[in-house]
Amino acid sequence: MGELAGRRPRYSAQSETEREAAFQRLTQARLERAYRLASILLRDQSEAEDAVHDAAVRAWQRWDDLRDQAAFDAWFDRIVVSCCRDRARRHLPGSIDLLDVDPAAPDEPGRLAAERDGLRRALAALDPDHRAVVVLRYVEDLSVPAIATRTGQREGTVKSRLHYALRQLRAAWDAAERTGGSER
Amino acid sequence: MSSDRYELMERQIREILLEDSPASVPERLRRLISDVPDSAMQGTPGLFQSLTRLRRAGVLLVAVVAMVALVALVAMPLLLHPAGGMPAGAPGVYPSILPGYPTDDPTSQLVATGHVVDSEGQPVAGVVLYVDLFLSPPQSTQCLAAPCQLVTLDAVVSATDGSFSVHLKPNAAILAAAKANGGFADLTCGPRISGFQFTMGDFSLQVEGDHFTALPGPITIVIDTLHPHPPVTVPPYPVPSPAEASVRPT
Repeated sequence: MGELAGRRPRYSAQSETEREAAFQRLTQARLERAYRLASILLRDQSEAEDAVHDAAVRAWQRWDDLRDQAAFDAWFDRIVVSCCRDRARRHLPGSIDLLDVDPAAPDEPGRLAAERDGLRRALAALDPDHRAVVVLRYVEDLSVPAIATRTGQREGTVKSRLHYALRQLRAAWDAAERTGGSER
Repeated sequence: MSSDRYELMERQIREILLEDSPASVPERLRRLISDVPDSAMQGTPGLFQSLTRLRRAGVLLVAVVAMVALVALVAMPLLLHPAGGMPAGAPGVYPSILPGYPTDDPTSQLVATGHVVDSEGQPVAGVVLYVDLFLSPPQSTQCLAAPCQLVTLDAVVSATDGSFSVHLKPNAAILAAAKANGGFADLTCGPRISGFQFTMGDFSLQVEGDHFTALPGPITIVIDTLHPHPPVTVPPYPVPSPAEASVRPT
Protein backbone atom coordinates (compact mmCIF):
# COMPACT_ATOMS: atom_id res chain seq x y z
CA MET A 1 0.00 0.00 0.00
CA GLY A 2 2.79 2.34 0.98
CA GLU A 3 4.62 1.44 -2.19
CA LEU A 4 1.56 2.20 -4.27
CA ALA A 5 1.10 5.55 -2.51
CA GLY A 6 4.68 6.45 -3.38
CA ARG A 7 3.97 5.91 -7.06
CA ARG A 8 0.99 8.23 -7.16
CA PRO A 9 1.32 11.16 -9.54
CA ARG A 10 1.86 14.56 -7.93
CA TYR A 11 -1.53 15.85 -8.93
CA SER A 12 -3.48 12.99 -7.48
CA ALA A 13 -5.23 15.34 -5.07
CA GLN A 14 -7.10 16.74 -8.07
CA SER A 15 -8.71 14.54 -10.65
CA GLU A 16 -7.80 15.07 -14.27
CA THR A 17 -11.21 16.62 -14.88
CA GLU A 18 -10.77 19.03 -12.01
CA ARG A 19 -7.34 20.02 -13.27
CA GLU A 20 -8.66 20.71 -16.75
CA ALA A 21 -11.62 22.62 -15.39
CA ALA A 22 -9.38 24.80 -13.21
CA PHE A 23 -7.01 25.42 -16.11
CA GLN A 24 -9.85 26.36 -18.46
CA ARG A 25 -11.55 28.61 -15.91
CA LEU A 26 -8.40 30.56 -15.09
CA THR A 27 -7.03 30.73 -18.63
CA GLN A 28 -10.28 31.82 -20.22
CA ALA A 29 -10.74 34.47 -17.53
CA ARG A 30 -7.28 35.84 -18.27
CA LEU A 31 -7.45 35.41 -22.03
CA GLU A 32 -8.60 38.89 -22.95
CA ARG A 33 -5.84 40.62 -20.98
CA ALA A 34 -3.24 38.13 -22.13
CA TYR A 35 -4.20 38.64 -25.76
CA ARG A 36 -4.15 42.42 -25.36
CA LEU A 37 -0.73 42.26 -23.71
CA ALA A 38 0.64 40.03 -26.47
CA SER A 39 -0.85 42.22 -29.20
CA ILE A 40 0.74 45.35 -27.77
CA LEU A 41 4.07 43.64 -27.21
CA LEU A 42 4.22 42.13 -30.69
CA ARG A 43 2.24 44.75 -32.66
CA ASP A 44 0.80 41.93 -34.72
CA GLN A 45 -2.47 40.26 -33.83
CA SER A 46 -1.87 36.94 -35.59
CA GLU A 47 1.54 36.69 -33.91
CA ALA A 48 -0.18 37.54 -30.64
CA GLU A 49 -2.69 34.73 -31.14
CA ASP A 50 0.13 32.26 -31.68
CA ALA A 51 2.04 33.59 -28.68
CA VAL A 52 -0.96 33.25 -26.37
CA HIS A 53 -1.63 29.75 -27.66
CA ASP A 54 2.02 28.82 -27.05
CA ALA A 55 1.72 30.28 -23.56
CA ALA A 56 -1.42 28.26 -22.82
CA VAL A 57 0.26 25.04 -23.96
CA ARG A 58 3.31 25.83 -21.85
CA ALA A 59 1.12 26.71 -18.86
CA TRP A 60 -0.75 23.42 -19.12
CA GLN A 61 2.50 21.46 -19.35
CA ARG A 62 3.71 23.20 -16.19
CA TRP A 63 0.36 23.23 -14.44
CA ASP A 64 1.66 21.23 -11.48
CA ASP A 65 4.26 23.95 -10.82
CA LEU A 66 1.47 26.40 -9.97
CA ARG A 67 0.98 25.83 -6.27
CA ASP A 68 -1.38 28.68 -5.53
CA GLN A 69 -4.12 29.33 -8.07
CA ALA A 70 -4.49 32.85 -6.67
CA ALA A 71 -1.10 33.56 -8.26
CA PHE A 72 -2.28 32.38 -11.68
CA ASP A 73 -2.56 35.80 -13.32
CA ALA A 74 1.05 36.83 -12.64
CA TRP A 75 2.28 33.31 -13.43
CA PHE A 76 0.43 33.19 -16.77
CA ASP A 77 1.44 36.76 -17.66
CA ARG A 78 5.05 35.77 -17.15
CA ILE A 79 4.67 32.88 -19.57
CA VAL A 80 2.91 35.15 -22.09
CA VAL A 81 5.68 37.76 -21.85
CA SER A 82 8.29 35.04 -22.26
CA CYS A 83 6.54 33.61 -25.36
CA CYS A 84 6.21 37.11 -26.84
CA ARG A 85 9.89 37.84 -26.25
CA ASP A 86 10.84 34.56 -27.92
CA ARG A 87 8.72 35.40 -30.93
CA ALA A 88 9.92 39.00 -31.12
CA ARG A 89 13.56 37.92 -30.90
CA ARG A 90 13.03 35.39 -33.65
CA HIS A 91 12.03 38.22 -35.93
CA LEU A 92 14.88 40.49 -34.90
CA PRO A 93 17.07 42.10 -35.97
CA GLY A 94 15.80 44.11 -38.84
CA SER A 95 12.17 43.11 -38.75
CA ILE A 96 11.07 46.34 -37.18
CA ASP A 97 10.18 48.56 -40.03
CA LEU A 98 10.04 52.09 -38.79
CA LEU A 99 8.15 53.12 -41.89
CA ASP A 100 5.48 50.63 -40.91
CA VAL A 101 4.44 52.87 -38.04
CA ASP A 102 1.02 54.39 -38.49
CA PRO A 103 1.23 58.09 -39.22
CA ALA A 104 -0.33 60.59 -36.90
CA ALA A 105 -4.07 61.08 -37.11
CA PRO A 106 -4.92 63.94 -39.49
CA ASP A 107 -6.83 65.93 -36.90
CA GLU A 108 -3.90 66.14 -34.47
CA PRO A 109 -2.42 69.65 -34.25
CA GLY A 110 1.01 70.08 -35.86
CA ARG A 111 3.39 69.87 -32.91
CA LEU A 112 1.46 67.19 -31.05
CA ALA A 113 1.21 65.14 -34.22
CA ALA A 114 4.98 65.37 -34.73
CA GLU A 115 5.63 64.40 -31.13
CA ARG A 116 3.28 61.44 -31.27
CA ASP A 117 4.82 60.34 -34.51
CA GLY A 118 8.30 60.56 -32.97
CA LEU A 119 7.13 58.56 -29.97
CA ARG A 120 5.50 55.92 -32.17
CA ARG A 121 8.73 55.40 -34.05
CA ALA A 122 10.79 55.30 -30.88
CA LEU A 123 8.40 52.78 -29.32
CA ALA A 124 8.55 50.63 -32.43
CA ALA A 125 12.35 50.75 -32.34
CA LEU A 126 12.64 49.51 -28.75
CA ASP A 127 13.97 45.98 -28.47
CA PRO A 128 11.61 43.33 -27.04
CA ASP A 129 13.01 43.49 -23.49
CA HIS A 130 12.74 47.27 -23.24
CA ARG A 131 9.34 47.33 -24.92
CA ALA A 132 8.07 44.73 -22.46
CA VAL A 133 8.90 46.82 -19.38
CA VAL A 134 7.38 49.95 -20.94
CA VAL A 135 4.17 48.10 -21.86
CA LEU A 136 3.86 46.52 -18.42
CA ARG A 137 4.49 49.89 -16.78
CA TYR A 138 2.22 52.10 -18.87
CA VAL A 139 -0.47 49.75 -20.17
CA GLU A 140 -0.76 47.26 -17.35
CA ASP A 141 0.10 49.98 -14.81
CA LEU A 142 2.34 47.65 -12.84
CA SER A 143 4.93 48.56 -10.23
CA VAL A 144 8.59 47.70 -10.72
CA PRO A 145 8.43 44.61 -8.42
CA ALA A 146 5.35 43.36 -10.30
CA ILE A 147 7.11 43.89 -13.64
CA ALA A 148 10.12 42.00 -12.29
CA THR A 149 7.83 39.09 -11.38
CA ARG A 150 6.29 39.03 -14.84
CA THR A 151 9.53 39.32 -16.76
CA GLY A 152 11.64 37.10 -14.53
CA GLN A 153 14.22 39.86 -14.14
CA ARG A 154 15.74 41.48 -11.11
CA GLU A 155 14.18 44.74 -10.00
CA GLY A 156 17.44 46.55 -10.72
CA THR A 157 17.38 45.27 -14.29
CA VAL A 158 13.77 46.38 -14.71
CA LYS A 159 14.57 49.86 -13.42
CA SER A 160 17.59 50.09 -15.65
CA ARG A 161 15.62 49.00 -18.72
CA LEU A 162 12.82 51.39 -17.91
CA HIS A 163 15.35 54.17 -17.52
CA TYR A 164 17.01 53.45 -20.87
CA ALA A 165 13.70 53.08 -22.67
CA LEU A 166 12.34 56.33 -21.25
CA ARG A 167 15.56 58.10 -22.17
CA GLN A 168 15.13 56.95 -25.77
CA LEU A 169 11.49 57.99 -25.79
CA ARG A 170 12.24 61.35 -24.21
CA ALA A 171 14.93 62.03 -26.80
CA ALA A 172 12.51 61.17 -29.61
CA TRP A 173 9.82 63.33 -28.04
CA ASP A 174 12.18 66.29 -27.68
CA ALA A 175 13.53 65.90 -31.20
CA ALA A 176 10.01 65.73 -32.60
CA GLU A 177 9.05 68.80 -30.63
CA ARG A 178 11.96 70.74 -32.12
CA THR A 179 11.10 69.54 -35.61
CA GLY A 180 7.41 70.25 -35.18
CA GLY A 181 8.13 73.65 -33.70
CA SER A 182 10.46 74.67 -36.51
CA GLU A 183 7.94 73.65 -39.17
CA ARG A 184 5.30 75.98 -37.86
CA MET B 1 11.64 68.52 -19.23
CA SER B 2 8.93 69.92 -16.94
CA SER B 3 6.75 67.51 -15.01
CA ASP B 4 3.67 68.58 -17.00
CA ARG B 5 5.39 67.81 -20.25
CA TYR B 6 6.68 64.56 -18.84
CA GLU B 7 3.17 63.55 -17.78
CA LEU B 8 1.92 64.45 -21.23
CA MET B 9 4.59 62.24 -22.77
CA GLU B 10 3.66 59.35 -20.48
CA ARG B 11 0.00 59.77 -21.43
CA GLN B 12 0.96 59.73 -25.09
CA ILE B 13 3.02 56.56 -24.60
CA ARG B 14 0.04 54.83 -23.06
CA GLU B 15 -2.33 55.99 -25.81
CA ILE B 16 0.05 54.95 -28.58
CA LEU B 17 0.58 51.52 -27.05
CA LEU B 18 -3.15 51.04 -26.68
CA GLU B 19 -3.58 51.69 -30.40
CA ASP B 20 -2.28 48.14 -30.87
CA SER B 21 -4.85 46.82 -28.42
CA PRO B 22 -7.34 44.46 -30.11
CA ALA B 23 -11.08 44.95 -29.76
CA SER B 24 -11.77 41.41 -28.58
CA VAL B 25 -10.33 37.91 -28.43
CA PRO B 26 -10.83 36.06 -31.75
CA GLU B 27 -13.13 33.07 -31.48
CA ARG B 28 -10.43 30.92 -33.07
CA LEU B 29 -8.08 31.63 -30.18
CA ARG B 30 -10.78 30.80 -27.62
CA ARG B 31 -11.35 27.45 -29.31
CA LEU B 32 -7.62 26.74 -29.46
CA ILE B 33 -7.26 27.49 -25.77
CA SER B 34 -10.19 25.27 -24.85
CA ASP B 35 -8.50 22.42 -26.78
CA VAL B 36 -5.13 22.90 -25.08
CA PRO B 37 -5.33 20.12 -22.46
CA ASP B 38 -6.36 17.54 -25.09
CA SER B 39 -3.88 18.62 -27.73
CA ALA B 40 -1.05 18.85 -25.22
CA MET B 41 -1.84 15.36 -23.91
CA GLN B 42 -1.89 13.93 -27.44
CA GLY B 43 1.44 15.46 -28.30
CA THR B 44 4.55 13.33 -28.17
CA PRO B 45 6.34 13.84 -24.89
CA GLY B 46 9.72 15.50 -25.17
CA LEU B 47 12.90 13.50 -24.84
CA PHE B 48 13.43 14.67 -21.28
CA GLN B 49 9.87 13.84 -20.20
CA SER B 50 10.14 10.35 -21.62
CA LEU B 51 13.07 9.46 -19.35
CA THR B 52 12.69 7.75 -16.02
CA ARG B 53 13.28 9.79 -12.90
CA LEU B 54 16.73 8.25 -12.37
CA ARG B 55 17.78 8.96 -15.93
CA ARG B 56 16.50 12.50 -15.67
CA ALA B 57 18.68 12.99 -12.60
CA GLY B 58 21.63 11.60 -14.56
CA VAL B 59 21.00 13.94 -17.47
CA LEU B 60 20.74 16.90 -15.10
CA LEU B 61 23.97 15.92 -13.34
CA VAL B 62 25.84 15.68 -16.64
CA ALA B 63 24.42 19.04 -17.72
CA VAL B 64 25.48 20.71 -14.47
CA VAL B 65 29.00 19.26 -14.66
CA ALA B 66 29.30 20.38 -18.28
CA MET B 67 28.14 23.87 -17.36
CA VAL B 68 30.59 24.16 -14.47
CA ALA B 69 33.41 22.99 -16.73
CA LEU B 70 32.42 25.54 -19.36
CA VAL B 71 32.27 28.37 -16.82
CA ALA B 72 35.66 27.36 -15.41
CA LEU B 73 37.10 27.25 -18.90
CA VAL B 74 35.92 30.78 -19.64
CA ALA B 75 36.47 32.37 -16.23
CA MET B 76 39.80 30.89 -15.16
CA PRO B 77 41.98 32.58 -17.78
CA LEU B 78 40.39 35.89 -16.85
CA LEU B 79 40.86 35.39 -13.12
CA LEU B 80 44.44 34.24 -13.51
CA HIS B 81 45.39 37.25 -15.60
CA PRO B 82 47.86 39.44 -13.67
CA ALA B 83 45.66 42.51 -14.11
CA GLY B 84 42.79 40.71 -12.48
CA GLY B 85 41.38 39.62 -15.80
CA MET B 86 39.80 42.92 -16.49
CA PRO B 87 39.39 43.72 -20.15
CA ALA B 88 38.28 47.29 -20.65
CA GLY B 89 34.63 47.77 -19.99
CA ALA B 90 33.79 44.10 -19.79
CA PRO B 91 31.51 42.81 -17.08
CA GLY B 92 32.92 40.04 -14.99
CA VAL B 93 34.61 39.30 -11.72
CA TYR B 94 36.73 42.13 -10.44
CA PRO B 95 39.11 41.05 -7.71
CA SER B 96 40.08 43.09 -4.72
CA ILE B 97 43.28 45.06 -4.51
CA LEU B 98 46.25 42.79 -4.90
CA PRO B 99 48.61 42.27 -1.94
CA GLY B 100 51.24 44.95 -1.73
CA TYR B 101 49.69 47.08 -4.42
CA PRO B 102 50.20 50.83 -3.86
CA THR B 103 46.63 51.81 -3.18
CA ASP B 104 47.49 55.49 -2.87
CA ASP B 105 48.88 55.69 -6.39
CA PRO B 106 46.87 58.54 -7.94
CA THR B 107 48.05 57.93 -11.47
CA SER B 108 46.35 54.64 -12.17
CA GLN B 109 42.62 54.49 -11.85
CA LEU B 110 39.48 52.83 -13.00
CA VAL B 111 36.62 54.87 -14.33
CA ALA B 112 33.14 53.64 -13.59
CA THR B 113 30.22 55.27 -15.38
CA GLY B 114 26.60 54.71 -14.55
CA HIS B 115 23.38 56.29 -13.53
CA VAL B 116 21.13 56.63 -10.51
CA VAL B 117 17.43 55.88 -10.81
CA ASP B 118 14.52 55.79 -8.42
CA SER B 119 11.99 53.02 -7.95
CA GLU B 120 10.14 54.17 -11.07
CA GLY B 121 13.25 54.19 -13.20
CA GLN B 122 13.42 57.98 -13.23
CA PRO B 123 16.83 59.64 -12.96
CA VAL B 124 17.84 60.95 -9.54
CA ALA B 125 20.13 63.97 -9.46
CA GLY B 126 22.31 65.12 -6.60
CA VAL B 127 23.15 61.76 -5.06
CA VAL B 128 26.64 61.84 -3.61
CA LEU B 129 28.61 58.72 -4.41
CA TYR B 130 31.63 58.03 -2.28
CA VAL B 131 34.26 55.54 -3.26
CA ASP B 132 35.73 54.23 -0.06
CA LEU B 133 38.64 52.03 0.61
CA PHE B 134 38.30 49.67 3.52
CA LEU B 135 41.67 49.34 5.21
CA SER B 136 40.93 45.80 6.24
CA PRO B 137 38.47 43.26 4.94
CA PRO B 138 35.20 44.05 6.73
CA GLN B 139 33.56 41.19 8.53
CA SER B 140 29.84 40.94 8.80
CA THR B 141 29.78 42.05 12.43
CA GLN B 142 32.95 44.11 12.54
CA CYS B 143 31.49 47.34 11.28
CA LEU B 144 28.54 47.06 13.63
CA ALA B 145 30.71 46.87 16.75
CA ALA B 146 32.89 49.83 15.75
CA PRO B 147 33.10 52.02 12.65
CA CYS B 148 35.10 50.42 9.89
CA GLN B 149 38.28 52.19 8.95
CA LEU B 150 37.61 53.86 5.66
CA VAL B 151 39.53 56.12 3.37
CA THR B 152 37.47 58.11 0.91
CA LEU B 153 39.13 57.97 -2.46
CA ASP B 154 36.70 59.97 -4.49
CA ALA B 155 33.22 61.44 -4.42
CA VAL B 156 30.93 62.51 -7.22
CA VAL B 157 27.41 63.87 -7.49
CA SER B 158 24.94 62.44 -9.98
CA ALA B 159 23.98 64.88 -12.75
CA THR B 160 20.48 66.01 -13.66
CA ASP B 161 20.00 62.98 -15.89
CA GLY B 162 21.19 60.74 -13.03
CA SER B 163 24.48 59.94 -14.72
CA PHE B 164 27.85 59.90 -13.01
CA SER B 165 31.44 59.01 -13.71
CA VAL B 166 33.69 58.14 -10.83
CA HIS B 167 37.30 57.15 -10.40
CA LEU B 168 38.04 53.94 -8.58
CA LYS B 169 41.43 52.53 -7.69
CA PRO B 170 43.08 49.95 -9.92
CA ASN B 171 41.67 46.52 -9.24
CA ALA B 172 39.48 47.90 -6.50
CA ALA B 173 36.53 45.65 -6.18
CA ILE B 174 33.04 46.98 -6.32
CA LEU B 175 32.15 43.62 -4.92
CA ALA B 176 34.49 41.51 -2.85
CA ALA B 177 34.71 38.81 -5.45
CA ALA B 178 38.17 37.73 -4.39
CA LYS B 179 39.31 38.22 -0.84
CA ALA B 180 42.91 37.10 -0.91
CA ASN B 181 44.36 40.31 0.45
CA GLY B 182 44.26 42.97 3.09
CA GLY B 183 42.62 45.68 1.03
CA PHE B 184 39.03 45.90 0.02
CA ALA B 185 37.20 48.66 -1.74
CA ASP B 186 33.54 49.25 -2.24
CA LEU B 187 31.45 51.74 -4.11
CA THR B 188 29.20 52.99 -1.37
CA CYS B 189 26.78 55.84 -1.24
CA GLY B 190 26.66 58.67 1.21
CA PRO B 191 25.50 58.87 3.88
CA ARG B 192 27.08 55.59 4.86
CA ILE B 193 24.92 52.60 4.14
CA SER B 194 24.94 49.27 5.86
CA GLY B 195 22.82 47.15 3.62
CA PHE B 196 22.91 46.87 -0.10
CA GLN B 197 22.47 44.24 -2.70
CA PHE B 198 24.97 43.91 -5.49
CA THR B 199 24.31 41.98 -8.64
CA MET B 200 27.34 41.18 -10.73
CA GLY B 201 25.58 40.52 -13.99
CA ASP B 202 24.64 44.05 -14.89
CA PHE B 203 26.57 46.01 -12.28
CA SER B 204 23.41 47.00 -10.55
CA LEU B 205 23.90 48.17 -6.99
CA GLN B 206 20.55 48.36 -5.29
CA VAL B 207 20.34 50.47 -2.20
CA GLU B 208 17.43 49.44 -0.05
CA GLY B 209 15.95 50.65 3.17
CA ASP B 210 15.93 54.06 4.75
CA HIS B 211 19.56 54.97 4.36
CA PHE B 212 18.66 57.95 2.27
CA THR B 213 16.51 60.04 4.51
CA ALA B 214 16.80 63.01 2.17
CA LEU B 215 15.46 61.00 -0.75
CA PRO B 216 11.81 60.09 -1.24
CA GLY B 217 12.48 56.39 -1.67
CA PRO B 218 14.98 53.69 -2.49
CA ILE B 219 17.34 54.34 -5.35
CA THR B 220 19.33 52.10 -7.62
CA ILE B 221 22.86 52.83 -8.73
CA VAL B 222 23.66 51.12 -11.97
CA ILE B 223 27.25 50.79 -13.11
CA ASP B 224 27.22 50.77 -16.90
CA THR B 225 30.91 50.54 -17.71
CA LEU B 226 34.16 49.98 -15.87
CA HIS B 227 37.28 50.99 -17.73
CA PRO B 228 40.94 51.01 -16.73
CA HIS B 229 42.09 54.59 -17.23
CA PRO B 230 44.84 54.81 -18.10
CA PRO B 231 45.67 51.16 -18.72
CA VAL B 232 47.44 49.90 -15.64
CA THR B 233 50.20 47.41 -15.18
CA VAL B 234 49.68 45.44 -12.05
CA PRO B 235 52.53 43.57 -10.41
CA PRO B 236 51.95 39.84 -10.30
CA TYR B 237 51.08 38.09 -7.08
CA PRO B 238 54.29 37.55 -5.07
CA VAL B 239 54.57 33.80 -4.83
CA PRO B 240 56.99 32.86 -2.01
CA SER B 241 59.47 30.16 -2.86
CA PRO B 242 59.45 27.10 -0.62
CA ALA B 243 62.75 28.30 0.92
CA GLU B 244 61.23 31.70 1.81
CA ALA B 245 58.16 30.07 3.21
CA SER B 246 60.23 27.82 5.47
CA VAL B 247 62.15 30.73 7.04
CA ARG B 248 59.01 32.78 7.70
CA PRO B 249 58.93 33.78 11.42
CA THR B 250 56.25 32.13 13.45
